[in-house]
Amino acid sequence: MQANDNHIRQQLFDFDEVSATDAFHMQQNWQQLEAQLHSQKRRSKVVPIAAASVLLLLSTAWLLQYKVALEPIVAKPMVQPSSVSNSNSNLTVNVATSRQHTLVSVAPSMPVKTPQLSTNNIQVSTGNAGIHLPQGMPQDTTTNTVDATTIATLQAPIDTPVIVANNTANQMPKAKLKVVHMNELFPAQTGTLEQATAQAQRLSEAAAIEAVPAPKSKQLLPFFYTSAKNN
Amino acid sequence: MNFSQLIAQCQQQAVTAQRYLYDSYANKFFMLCKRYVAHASEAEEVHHNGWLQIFKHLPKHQFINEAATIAWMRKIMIHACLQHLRTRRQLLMAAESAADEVAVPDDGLQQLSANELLHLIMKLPAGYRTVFNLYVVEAMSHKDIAALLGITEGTSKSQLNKARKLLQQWYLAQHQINYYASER
Repeated sequence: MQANDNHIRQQLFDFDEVSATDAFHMQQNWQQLEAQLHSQKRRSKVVPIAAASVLLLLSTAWLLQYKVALEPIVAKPMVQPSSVSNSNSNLTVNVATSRQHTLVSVAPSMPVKTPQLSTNNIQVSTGNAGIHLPQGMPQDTTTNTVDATTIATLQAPIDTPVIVANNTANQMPKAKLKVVHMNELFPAQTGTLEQATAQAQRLSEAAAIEAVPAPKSKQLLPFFYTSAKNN
Repeated sequence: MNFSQLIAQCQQQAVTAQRYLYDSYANKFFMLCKRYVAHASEAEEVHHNGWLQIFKHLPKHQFINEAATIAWMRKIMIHACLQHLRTRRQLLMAAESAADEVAVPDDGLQQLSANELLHLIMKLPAGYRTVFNLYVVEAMSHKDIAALLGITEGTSKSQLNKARKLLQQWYLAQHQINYYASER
């Protein structure tokens, strides 16, 4: 039996006589095998490239986000004109300056009883008595003493919309607002209160809010009211 | 280019080297697959999958010498065959106690050529054929066969004995037919 096993092993272990048909099939199989091996190789190359591309995209996105976060620190020109939009009784100003805080100066051309400056979280009222700054903000010494031109100043965070609210019911604030940097108003931080106020007024004269009278209530009365009165 | 250089080239996935390796061993491994799987088209499929596995794992293969590498490739082929038989549920063997050794005359199967032996083995049921191949051709022990196939050693011995009996019957039947044919 052992001799039988040895004989079978010797005969079959390295037996490699294939028929012509099998040989032909095996050559065909090589073509498939080669194609599969190449596709695997391509895949093995493509996957790292794709992974690297995704990583690059992610890192770029992260860097862009980081850049956006860093943007307030990057220096820009000191004074940027603000964009102004007017809706009903509120005048919205987008403060856009290079520093963490900027000073907004508002000067209506007509007397306004209680003009207000506010950001999203900060609201400042100005009146004859002066400006009230929110808690935690550095106190500004600018005061309003002129009836015709009310100057309100506010240190607002960068890119924060500043809303100029006019509490006077029959007046609608219109048009312009001047945004000035703190340093422009107080160049050396050494001037007196009067000097600073005078300078602020001078700066605000060029671009000031023009508060125009709103249509009077009578003008809005319905037609039958006037007709009845005449009768 | 010697064998170690060939393997090194294959590990770097050089197509020419892969083709050369395939051409050198494809026939041998195909006949191996036929011995286990029996059906020609299935053997082709298994042979193809085996080569895919070889080329896939070759970059991680640590070359020692030619014989070890060929044995490694052969092992992959056998595993591919067994995997195929398992998926076709052809290796389900009921546990059996070891049968008595069957005495096969020494002058019997020794007279058969490789082709004749192969055709007889291919006629065996899958379970008998697998154990017979592993024990006789690959020279594995019943313990190793049992571990590889997930059967008991008794089952392995029993399957081998049944395979021997069948081969003996077929051989004798063939021999008698030939004997009577020559007498006439």
